[in-house]
Amino acid sequence: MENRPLLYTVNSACMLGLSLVLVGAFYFQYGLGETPCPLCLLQRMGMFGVLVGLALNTAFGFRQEHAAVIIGAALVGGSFSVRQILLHIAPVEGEPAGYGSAVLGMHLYTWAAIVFLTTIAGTAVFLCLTRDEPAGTVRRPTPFDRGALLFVTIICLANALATFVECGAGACCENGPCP
Amino acid sequence: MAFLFLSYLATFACVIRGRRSAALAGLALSTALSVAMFFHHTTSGLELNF
Repeated sequence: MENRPLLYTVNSACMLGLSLVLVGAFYFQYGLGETPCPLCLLQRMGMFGVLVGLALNTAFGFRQEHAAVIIGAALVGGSFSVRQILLHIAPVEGEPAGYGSAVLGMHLYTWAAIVFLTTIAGTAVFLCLTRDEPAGTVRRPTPFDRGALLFVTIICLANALATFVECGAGACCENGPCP
Repeated sequence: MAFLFLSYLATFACVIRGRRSAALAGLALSTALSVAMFFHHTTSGLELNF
């Protein structure tokens, strides 16, 4: 049984959805002037890891290895999120709770943890609905698939440039490059 | 940290060019570097823990 084309469209829609989360992070960075913290940048990298797995599905068809990539990247990114949640779980009296702005009552790193958990759950559903394409398969992506893949690549390039502008070539500290 | 994003970008380039093995290797390297940076941050000092 072949995989339904609709599943590939959903896969690309997930790529776009996750990319929009990263665009939202840019809104906080440039629209609200909140410089991303080092752990925030690492969580973005976890999302790019997930996006690589989804892109592999787009380019080479559904494979269990690609699902493993997605789950692994989500676990790594989720670990970064949980680390940041735990850092701010007990706010100091008189100081603002958490780091950065909250959206619907939760900070961005909490939302990131939810995104990674949802990714793992979604991948479990995909594993039930899809079958492995034969080894060596190279798909001919639809224009929508190609657009999603190109958009993700552009967002990744934008993140590289933004991080270089913020921190230069080295590690980032709280408000820019480390001394 | 910009170079980490560049390694993910190179991984996407491999996917687009149809090089699956290279993409998987690139992702493994990118993830390993991210985790290394995470440990650098968590063990270097409080100013990095944000």
